[in-house]
Parts: sequence; C-alpha cells; structure tokens
Amino acid sequence: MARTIDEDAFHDFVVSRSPALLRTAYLLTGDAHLAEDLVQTALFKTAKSWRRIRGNPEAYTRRVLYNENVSRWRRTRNQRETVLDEQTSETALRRDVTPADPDLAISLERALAELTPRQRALLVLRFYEDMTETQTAAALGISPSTVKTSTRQALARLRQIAPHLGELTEVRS
Amino acid sequence: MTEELRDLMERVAAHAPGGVDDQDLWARARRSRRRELVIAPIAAIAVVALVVGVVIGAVGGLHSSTVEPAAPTHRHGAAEVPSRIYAMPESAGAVTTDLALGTLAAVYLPAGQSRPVAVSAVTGAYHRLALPGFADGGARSFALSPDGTALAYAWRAKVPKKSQTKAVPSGIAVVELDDGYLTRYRFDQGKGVQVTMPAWSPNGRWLAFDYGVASKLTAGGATYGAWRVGLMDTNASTADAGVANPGDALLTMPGRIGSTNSAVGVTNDGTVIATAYDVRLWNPEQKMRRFDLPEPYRNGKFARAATGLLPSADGQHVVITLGAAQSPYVLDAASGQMQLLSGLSKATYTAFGWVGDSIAGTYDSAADRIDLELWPPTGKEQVVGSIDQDATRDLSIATGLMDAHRPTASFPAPSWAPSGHPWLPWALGGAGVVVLAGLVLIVRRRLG
Repeated sequence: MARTIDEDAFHDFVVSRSPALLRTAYLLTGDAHLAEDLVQTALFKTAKSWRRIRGNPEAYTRRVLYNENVSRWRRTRNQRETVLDEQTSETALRRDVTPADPDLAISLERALAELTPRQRALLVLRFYEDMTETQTAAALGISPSTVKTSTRQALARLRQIAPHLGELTEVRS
Repeated sequence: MTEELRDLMERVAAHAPGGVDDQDLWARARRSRRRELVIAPIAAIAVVALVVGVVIGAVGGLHSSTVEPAAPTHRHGAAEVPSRIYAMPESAGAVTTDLALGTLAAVYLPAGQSRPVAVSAVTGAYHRLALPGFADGGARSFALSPDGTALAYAWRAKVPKKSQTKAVPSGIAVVELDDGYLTRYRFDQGKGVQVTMPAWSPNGRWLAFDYGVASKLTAGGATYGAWRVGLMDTNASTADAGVANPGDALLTMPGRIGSTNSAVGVTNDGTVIATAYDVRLWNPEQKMRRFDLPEPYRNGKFARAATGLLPSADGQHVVITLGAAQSPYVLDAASGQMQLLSGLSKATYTAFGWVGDSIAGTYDSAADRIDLELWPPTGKEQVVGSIDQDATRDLSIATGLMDAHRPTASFPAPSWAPSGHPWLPWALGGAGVVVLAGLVLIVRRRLG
C-alpha cells in the first residue's frame, strides 16, 4: 500500500529523532526496555495526533514522554513497593550512602535512579536538554517557580545520594 | 559545571537502545484514532441517556400510570368534567384557603392525607383545600353539588380544651364556589354532631346525610349515640353572619337508620332515600314508603346499607349500589320494582350520578387507573374517562356537568402529572449502563 505524505513525514521524524528521544527516555527511566516502551508510546500518541501537531512534533512527543513517564511511575509504584523484599530494601538503603565511585557516569546513573520521576525529568530537561526554566515548565505543565524550587531540591537530593559527584551538582539553578 | 553534568548525562544516555521499530506504528495509531472517533460520540450519547434516565426517574417519571395521549379537547371557559382525574401527590401544590375556585368537576380525599383535593371544571387545575372546620368523620364527609358550584362538608368548630365539657358547635358547612362564601349550618344536639355521607339532590337544593349525636366528649373525640339520617333545605335556611339557624334547616328521618358510612340520597322534591335491609323513601309531608331489597340482601347476610343511592332528576328511578360484587340495581320509585342494571359484569360498583338516562360510575379494581364509565339503561357500558386509583377515595363528581354526547373533555395534564412513557427512563438508563459497560470493557482490554 502506498504511503501518504503524512506517513512519510512521520517515518522521517521517527528515523531522525528516535535516537535522541531514546537517550532522553533512558535518562528518565534508567532502563533500556522501559525507555524503548516509553518512546514507542510517545510516538504512537504522536502518530494519532499527527495532523494536529505536525508543525512541531518533537515538542509534543517530548511532552508525552515526560508525562507518560510520571504517569507510568504512578501506575506501577504500588506494585514496585509490594515486590521489594527485605534484601532489596537494604540494598537500596546502602546505595543511598554508596561511597565514591570511580566511574562518575555509573554513580550519576545510580543516583538518578533514586530520584522521583519528576525530579529526574527536571534534571534531564534543564541540564541534558538544556532547556530554560520557562521551557521546562511548559514541557512538564507546571509553573516556572515550581521548576526552580523542584530543581533545587533534586540537586540537593543528588548531592545527598552521591556526595562524590562534588561540584557537578553545585549548579546554579 | 553545567557542561560537565551534561557530558556525564550524555555518557549515561549512551546506554540507551539503538532505535525504535516504527513498523505499523502509523497504521495502529490510525486505527486507534478511528475507533476513538466512533467511541467518543457513543460514550457521550450513553452518558446523556444515563443522566436523562436518572433525572426523569428521580423527578417522578417512574409512576406506572400514563398520561392521556389525546390532545386537549376542553372548550375554553366551559365547565366540563376532565376525562382524566389524577391523584395529586402530597408534595405537589400549595394549600388553597381561597375557596372562590369557580365550578369544580370533582373532589376527593387522597389516601393518607387530611385535605380534600378539588379539580376545576373550567381550567382542570388541582387545588388542595383548607376547609375551615372540616371534620373528617371516617367516611366520606363532603359532597360536590351536581352542577359543581357548591361544596358541602362536615363542620365542627374548634373550641379550647377547657371548654370541651360544653357542646361543640358543629353541623354541615356549604361553600358557594363562585365567590367562596361559606355558610355553617349548626345543629345543636347533644354535645355536637358528626355529619357523614352528605348527598345533594340533583337540583342542588336539598342535602341529605347521616349524622351522629355526641353523647360524651372525650380527649380523642366524642362518643356517638344512634346515627340518624338528616335532611336540610338549603333554600329555606336563613343564614346570619354565615351561621344558619338549625331549627329552620334540619329535619330528621324517623327511625334509627343510618350509620357512619351508609349512603343516603335525596330527590329534587326533598324525598330522602336510605337503606336498612330495605329501601326507605321518606318525605316530611308524606308517609314513609319501604321497598324490599332483592334476595340475598334483605336477610342481613350482606352489608345492610347501600354504598350509593342516586335518584334520577325526575325522581322516578334510584340507582342502588350495594358494595358487593353485583351489578347496581335500579329502583322504580313508583312501583317499587327493582332490577339489575343489564350489561354489566359482576363487580363492586360505585355510582356518582345520572347523566341523562345513563349512570356515571366506576367498578372497583386494584389497577392504578380505573375507568370512568357511563352505564346505559340497556346495552354495554361506555368508557368516558379514567381516574387514578389514589383519587377514588371519597370521590364526588359533578355529574350535572356531564352530557351523554360529551360526557368528559380532556384537559392539559398538570405539571406534576407522571410521564406518558414510564418505560422511557428505564430504557434510557439501561441503554446508558450497557453502552458504558461495553466501553469500559474495551478500554480495559486496550490497557491490559
């Protein structure tokens, strides 16, 4: 069956932007499979609304990505809590006070995993996507002042979890 | 610092998977979009149906009765009997103290309520009446005149408790409905009287009724001695400031005859009709005439009193209902011959009055609505209207407003009347629930 113009445009968008979207999704979830699912879901919703958002599909897709991640966490957090056994809980507790790690990237990945999805999303948008507070607020559907205070809290939490990241987390928000 | 954090994040993000399989992603999204386009309107319709069903049901549309489907045929300004008499809910309408209501078509006492409801013959409007001193005697205690212009009712004055050792002013009151003028006919007997089963003569001049004389007043009411049948000429009474002299008005039928609920009747010439195993016709100026009731009513095996005694306008015939599963009898007042009204099946009948040669009445039934019928001298009955079951208690109809050719007219239904489609809220609500359940199932499958 011949493809329509819209379908071609969507395909081009997926091919060109999905690597970047996957990287963001990985930072948001900390899990390759979850990241893939998240991007699939976001692209599915993008395709559904393509005619409405084709002027700037990436903004829409990213917004879906962030919000879907938070929603997914809300849907599944109870399940996660119930499957945590005693040993896992202790491990998580120990990880909170993990001493300095030689590989900073691994330390950061572990520390990000200890944050809430909202906090992770804030750090990803502000420091990975390099968005302003206003852009971040628009992307997450919250106010700029909330972005400001929540980012400060997220960084403080990072410093608490991984103090050896040192001045990397001393970013002015 | 920001750059370093970003580089570090980039190193973390490098563990992300390589790509997304977008094969059929577009097609699946299109299908989903099309489904939503179909489901969304269905869901909206289901919700609307559910809400409409619930609202109609809550407002009272679940009543099992139905509205007359016919368009109103009432002639503007004319006084006519409605083809449908509704039971007025207790919650509907305010109490009316202004009794200048114009011509009425019917009055009844709704079950479980203490105030009679009147139906206008001109507008079809319903009024809950506040009758001054209305004394409900445990049987029908009011009667609408055949032409619908006057309402007679049992009356008893309110007296302070400390004064209750004396006689209580009581008797019968008559309201002229065109101007609301009230005349209280006071009967000074014993400690007071209780009137029941009042009946008008066809010309609206005479009133006959049962009455009991109170021999003793008690905290809860009174103790009555023998009940008697009274007669009153409303033309002869002289009213003074609304209270008539009883001596001029009250005549008592000889003999201990009458009870709280035995029917009495009166002809245009003031002849009283009553029953006590036999039928008695008494006129103050003539000798009492007695006619045997047909077997088996004369031996006391059945109720000794008639439930209805309705003389024709010429006084030649009296229709008698006996409160048993039997057709009404028609008494020939001249010969004393009594014949079953032909053409009716066995049932318990209530008669309201004569309409030409026919009789307007109903037969008892447990149905929510019962038929108002005309029973001709010969031939089959004719259904001319319907009455809600809850509007049949103590019902009095202005049969003088009925005509054999145009016995009733349909009026617009009152605003509180039940819906004409009692199944509609159930159907709408049911459809809404079914569709919503289906949608929930689809959504859950999609999410699952």
